[in-house]
Amino acid sequence: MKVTIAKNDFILDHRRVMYDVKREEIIVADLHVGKSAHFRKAGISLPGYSFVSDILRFQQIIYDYQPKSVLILGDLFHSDKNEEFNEWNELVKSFPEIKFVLVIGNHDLWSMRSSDLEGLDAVNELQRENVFYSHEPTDKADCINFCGHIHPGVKLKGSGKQELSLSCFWLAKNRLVLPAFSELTGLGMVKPKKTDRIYIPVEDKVIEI
Amino acid sequence: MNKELFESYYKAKGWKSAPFQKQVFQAISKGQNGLLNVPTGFGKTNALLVPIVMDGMEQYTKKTKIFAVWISPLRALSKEIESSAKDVSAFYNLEWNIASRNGDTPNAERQKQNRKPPQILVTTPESLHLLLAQKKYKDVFSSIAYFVVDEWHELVGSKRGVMIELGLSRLKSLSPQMKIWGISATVGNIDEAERVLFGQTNHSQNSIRVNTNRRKKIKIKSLLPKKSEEYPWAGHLGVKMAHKVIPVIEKYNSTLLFTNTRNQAEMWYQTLMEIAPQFAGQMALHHSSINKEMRRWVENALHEGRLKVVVCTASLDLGVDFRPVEAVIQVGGPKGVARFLQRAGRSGHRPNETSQIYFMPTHSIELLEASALREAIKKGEIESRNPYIRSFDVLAQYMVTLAVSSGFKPENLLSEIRTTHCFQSISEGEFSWLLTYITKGGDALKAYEEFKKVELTDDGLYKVNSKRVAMRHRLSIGTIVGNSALRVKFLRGGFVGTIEEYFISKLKEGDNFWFSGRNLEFIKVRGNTALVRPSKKKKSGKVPAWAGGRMPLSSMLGAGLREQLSHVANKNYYSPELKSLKPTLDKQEQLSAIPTENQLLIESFKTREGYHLVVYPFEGRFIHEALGSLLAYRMSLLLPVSFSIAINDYGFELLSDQPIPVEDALDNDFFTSQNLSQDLAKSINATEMARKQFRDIATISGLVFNGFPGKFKEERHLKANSQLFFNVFREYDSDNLFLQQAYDEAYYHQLEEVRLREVLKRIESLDILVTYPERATPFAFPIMVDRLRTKLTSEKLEDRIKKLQIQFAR
Repeated sequence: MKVTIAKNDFILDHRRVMYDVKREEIIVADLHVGKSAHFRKAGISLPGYSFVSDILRFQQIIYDYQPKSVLILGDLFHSDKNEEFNEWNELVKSFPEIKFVLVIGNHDLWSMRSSDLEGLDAVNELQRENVFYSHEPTDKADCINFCGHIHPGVKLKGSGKQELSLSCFWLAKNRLVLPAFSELTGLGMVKPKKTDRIYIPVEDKVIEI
Repeated sequence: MNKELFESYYKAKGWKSAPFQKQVFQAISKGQNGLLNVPTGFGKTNALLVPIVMDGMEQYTKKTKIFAVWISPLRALSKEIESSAKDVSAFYNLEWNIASRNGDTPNAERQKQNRKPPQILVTTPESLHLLLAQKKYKDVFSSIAYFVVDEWHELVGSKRGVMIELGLSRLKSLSPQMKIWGISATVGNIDEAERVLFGQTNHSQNSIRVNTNRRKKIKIKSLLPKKSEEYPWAGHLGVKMAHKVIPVIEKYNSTLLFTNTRNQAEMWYQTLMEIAPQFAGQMALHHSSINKEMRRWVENALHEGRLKVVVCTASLDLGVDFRPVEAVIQVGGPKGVARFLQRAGRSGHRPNETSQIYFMPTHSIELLEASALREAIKKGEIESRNPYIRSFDVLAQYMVTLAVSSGFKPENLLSEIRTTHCFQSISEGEFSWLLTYITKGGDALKAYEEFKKVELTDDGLYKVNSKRVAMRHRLSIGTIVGNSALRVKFLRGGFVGTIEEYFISKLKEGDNFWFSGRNLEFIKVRGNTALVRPSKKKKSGKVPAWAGGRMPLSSMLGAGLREQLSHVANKNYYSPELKSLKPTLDKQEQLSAIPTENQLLIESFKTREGYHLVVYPFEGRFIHEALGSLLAYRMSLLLPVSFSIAINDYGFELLSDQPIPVEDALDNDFFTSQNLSQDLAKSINATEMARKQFRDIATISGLVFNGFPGKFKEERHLKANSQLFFNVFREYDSDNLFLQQAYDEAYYHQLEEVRLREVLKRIESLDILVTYPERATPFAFPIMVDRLRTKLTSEKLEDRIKKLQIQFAR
C-alpha cells in the first residue's frame, strides 16, 4: 500500500517493512535476531526454524525491492552474540552493494560492545531533512519521527462479540511507528486517537482501517 | 505383630477398634499392600499409623533413615497427620522424629531434615520430587518400608497422581521390600484407581482392599428464597442472598462456608463482615493464596472451636478433622456428587455423626442441581476419576529431576517407568525423543551447542552440571500451573499472600482492593513484591480473581439435571427446590420451552449483541465446548461466518453478527457422529482447546520458565509465551511429542471423545425442539453473560477486519 508522509512516498509492505520510494531504502524495526538462540542458551528450547524463516523473509524483501540501503530502527539484536548473529552477518555480507544502517535500540546495547559487525553503520539517532529516525518514540520540533520499539498492535471489536488483535503500522501526528519484524515478539497494544491512521498487514497486502 | 499391643492403643484412648482397622493391622502383619476405602471421619489415619509404627518397633534400627512416607495432597492436612503420628509413636514409647515437608516448610527446618532424615515424613507429591532432586536421595530412601498415599481419589485423576506413580517406581527400585498403601474415598472406578497406585509390579498381587460398609449419614437442605424472583437469573457470586446463611451460622457452634473460587470467598467474607458484624472476631477466611501463618492460625482456631464461621475454598476440602465443625454451607453448584459429599463430610466428623450441609444456589437454575444431587446421593451414585496416561510433560520434568540429583541411565529408567500405569505403553522412540529434548532442546535435526540442560557423561549417565539449570529446575517442579504471581506485602513489613501479576498490573497507585479479608491500598511494585498499606477508604475496591480451573459438571449430575427437567415438563414439582424454582421455570416455558428427557432444546433469537443460537444438552462444560466447536465448524463450512462460542454446564451458545442458519444445520444433520474424529480434529484446531492444554504442558515440561522468585525483572526477557511454541511446533515440528500430548489431552481428558460419541448418539435419538423466543430466556441468560469465549471463523481476515471497529482512545 502506497502512503504519502511529509510529502514523500512510501510503500507499506505486508511483511512488516516499509519502502522509501525516493531514497530506495527499506526501513524495518525490531528484528530481534538471536532471540531464539538466547532462549536455548538459557535451557529453554525454541525451535530455530522461526529465525531462519525471518532471515529468508528479509532476503526475499531485498530481492523484491532491490534497495540502495536498509535502515533498521533498533533492536536488531536481542542479546549477546550467538549463531543467529552470524547468520545475519552472512546475509549482510551477501549484499555488499547495499548500505545497512542501524539506529541503536535498547536491546542492541548489550551486544554492541563486543560487536564485530561487518558492513553495518551504527548510529544513536539519525536526522535526514525533516525526518528524525530513532528506536524509541522521540519528539523533535518540526520533525516527523520514524521509530519502532513499541511493537504496535490494535484491538478491533465488532458485533457478535468479535475481537481481533493485530500488528500494525501506526501513523500519528508527527510520528510513524513500525510493526516489529520478528515473529517472536508480542504486541504492545496501542489506543490510537481518532485522527491517527492505522495500517494492518493482512495475508498478502496492507489495508487501512 | 502382637494383637494385644495393637488393641492397647485404642483401649488407652477409650475407643474400640473398628473391623476395618483390625483388617488393616492383619494385612500389614502379613506384609501386604493395600487400598483402604473408607469415608473420612472413621479413623482411617490411625488404621494405618498404628500398625506401621508397631512394625517400626520391630524393624527399626539406628541405620534406618526414612521409615515411612505419608503423601497428603493438601498442606492443611499434613499437620493433622503429623500430630497423629507423634501421638501414636509416643504411645509406643518410640523417640521418633516425625516431620512435615511441603511448600510452607521453612528453610532451616528443611536443612535440619536433610542432616537428620525423619522416620516418618509427611509430604506432598511436589516435595517428594524435590527430595528426588537431591544428591543424597538414594541414601535417604534406602530403608523406606511404607509409602502411604492419603486422599488417593483426589490425586488419581490429576497429573499430581502421575508424579506419585513416577516417585513410586523409583522408590520401589531403591527399596524393593517397601509396602504401598492408599487411602481413598469411593470413586466410580475404584478398581482402576487401585491398579494405578500399585502399577505393573508384584505389589498388586500381594494386596488387599479394605472396605467398610458404613456410610456417612448426610442431611441436605437448600436455602430457598421466599419467592423465586429474589434469585438472579445469572451470576455466580450469590452474595445478594447472603442474609440467608446468617440463621444457619447462628444455629451451630462452628460452620464452614465453601465457595467454588478464591475470588468468591473474598467477596463472601467481605459481605458477611458488612451484614453480620455480630460475628466479628469469630469469622475468618481461608484459601490457598493467603499467607501460611494466617492459614495456620485459622486452622488452629478451628480446632479449638474458637471460630463461628470460616469462609473457605477447596483449601479445606479434604480430610482435615475439625471436630467442632457442625455444619457446612456450600455456595454455588458443587458440580459433582463426590465433591459435594466430600464437603458435607467436613461436618459431623466423628463416626456415626450426621453431616449437615446447606446448599446455597447462586442463581435460580442451580436449584435444579440441588434437586439432582439429592437424587444421586439417594441412589448412591458417584463419579469416576480418570487417570492421566502418557503425560510426557511430567516425564520430561521427572527425567531432569533425576539428572539434577545423581543422574540416570536411560535403559534402567525406561524399564522402571514402564512399571507405571501412566507410561506402560511408552515406546523406545518416544523415550529417546524425550532424551533428545532434555539434552538438545527437542530438535533432532539440528544440534545446538549451547543447549545444555542435561548432559551425557562419559560413564553413560544423564546429568545436569550447570548450577543455574539445576536451581531453575527445582523451582519449576510441580504440575499445578498458575499464572505468574506477585507477593503482597505491607509497606511496614508483613506478608499478606500472593496475587496474580495480571491483577496488580491493572492497579494504579492509591487504588484500593480487597484481599485476604482486608481493604488494602496499592502503593507500588518492587521486584516481585506488591507493596500495600491498609486502606482508609470506606468504599471497598476490586477483588482479585485467580485463574483456577472451573470444575465441569459431571456427566452423572448432567443426567440428573435432565431427569429433573423431565419431571418439570410433566408438571411434577416433587422436591422443595423444584417448587421454589417454579416461577422461573414458568417464565422459561412461556418464552421458550422446557425439554423432556427425549428432547433437545435449541433457542434462536436476536439481541443488540447479534444473533444467538443456544443449545441445551446438559452434559457439562467440557462436552459443551466440544459440541459448540463442532457445530460451529460444521456450520462454517456452509458459509463464511465468524462465531463467538460461550459455554456453561447446561448448554452452549453460538453468537454471530449474521443470522445463523439453524434450519440448514438441522437439515444437514449437524449432530451426526459420522466423521466425528476428522471434524473434531479440525474444530479443535480452529479453536483454543489444544492450545489451552498446551499451556500447562509447556510449563510442566520446562519449555516455559516462569522466573525466579525475587528476580522478577531480570528474568523477564527469558519469559516465552507458550502460545508461541504452540504455533511454531504446529507449523514446523508437528511430530513434537508435547504437541501430540496437547491434542491427546484435549481429546481424551477434556473432551473424552468416547463420551462425546455417546452424547451425539443420544442427541441423534432425541426430538429437536427449536424455539424462537423474543428475548433471552432464563436458561440462556447465564450462558450469554459468560465472558470466557472461544472463537471460530471461516471468513477471510480482511473481510472480518472490515466489519470491526478500532478501539480508539477516549
